[in-house]
Amino acid sequence: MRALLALDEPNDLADSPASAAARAEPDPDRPLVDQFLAGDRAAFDTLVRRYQQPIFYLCLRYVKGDADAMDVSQKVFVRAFQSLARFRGDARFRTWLYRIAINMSLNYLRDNARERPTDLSTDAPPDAALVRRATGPMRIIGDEESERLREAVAELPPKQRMVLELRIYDELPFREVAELANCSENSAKVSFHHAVKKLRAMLAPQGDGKKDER
Amino acid sequence: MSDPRPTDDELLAAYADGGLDPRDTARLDAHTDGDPDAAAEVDGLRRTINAVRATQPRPTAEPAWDQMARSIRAACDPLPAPRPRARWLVRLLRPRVAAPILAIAAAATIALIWTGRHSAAPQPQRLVAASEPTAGDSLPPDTAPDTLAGDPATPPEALPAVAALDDGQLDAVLAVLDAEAPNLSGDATGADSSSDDTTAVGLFGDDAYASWVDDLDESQIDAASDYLATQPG
Repeated sequence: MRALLALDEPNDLADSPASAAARAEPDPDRPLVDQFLAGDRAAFDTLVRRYQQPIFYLCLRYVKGDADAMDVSQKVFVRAFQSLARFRGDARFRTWLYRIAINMSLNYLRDNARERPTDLSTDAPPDAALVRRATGPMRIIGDEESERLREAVAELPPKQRMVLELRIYDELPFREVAELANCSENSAKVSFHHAVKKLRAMLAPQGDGKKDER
Repeated sequence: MSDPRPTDDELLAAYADGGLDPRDTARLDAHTDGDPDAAAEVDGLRRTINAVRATQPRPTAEPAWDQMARSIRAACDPLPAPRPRARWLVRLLRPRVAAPILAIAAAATIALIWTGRHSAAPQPQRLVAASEPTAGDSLPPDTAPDTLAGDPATPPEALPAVAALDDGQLDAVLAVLDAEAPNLSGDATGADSSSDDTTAVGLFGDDAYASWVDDLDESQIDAASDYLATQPG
């Protein structure tokens, strides 16, 4: 059983070491949040459209199956709708929403004991365009190696895995990664480094010995 | 919290992924330019990162995003629109204001309980052995734990007592508000995360603090709004 990184409630984002830096930059979603709080429900619809895909993909990493990920994703937005009045603006809206999604995904796993976090494997093959983007002209990742890599990511310590996934899959800046992982930005960068190094080392023994070479 | 600066080696993966600020990036650029081993290390890290990126879990079929958005809208439509915190409420929640109110409320509750116990007809004393109750037992009303008596910082339970404050006690509360008003600031967003808020959360507990806000009924809000409307500024 893989351990999960327990997280606090979204309001605790205000206490994360990276939140001070986050407050210094304007939140691009803040105008929509303010419009919504002023009674404009359409503003919330815009936020849903903006984030439904990344939230779904985030949930998909935790829960098993498309339908469950969709279900959790929808609940994330309903929870956000209900809680937005309490959003303090200490973190970006996106970070706050991601935290809700992570918490609700973990709650889902807890409430469905038979479920467990996906080991980053689904029945679907990796997106072909992503494979091309990842490998470029150098090499093509085979299904077998891709599967090994997914398993290797799943074996990472929880914090390293979270940092790695938020950075690579969600493409968040380290500042926001740090807020979600409840650590400093420097700590997030170091965790990321150790995670990548570990993955590289995990893959090396079973490879052909030349896969990291041009 | 101490945040030791990472070594350049520990920043290599972030550097390889383009996640460093310009100053760190320039420093590591110079480092790798002059060190082929470091450059090879960065290259290997970058390829590992890209390989991981290609393993992003994908759904078996492209989700129907429009339908998802409609479902969310349908689920939210029956819900009441969120009510942003009113400015006066943010003021009221400042611990310098809230703490005295809660202290008075707790004191009033204690007084009411004490008065009630002493004015009621004497009841036969029921002695219960310590081992007698089981986990499923519910205590009779007169033996229910008096959580307020020893804990003035218990807002959810103490709130009903606010309604029981007499005019003199309310005047005392309002006097506190008056005294504090010049020092109070903040908007309805609560974006000002001063140490006051931290203190308040510490005082109430995070959930209780939020619940306390939400549990105020319309009459309490109206009463406070009416009062604040009469105040200068």
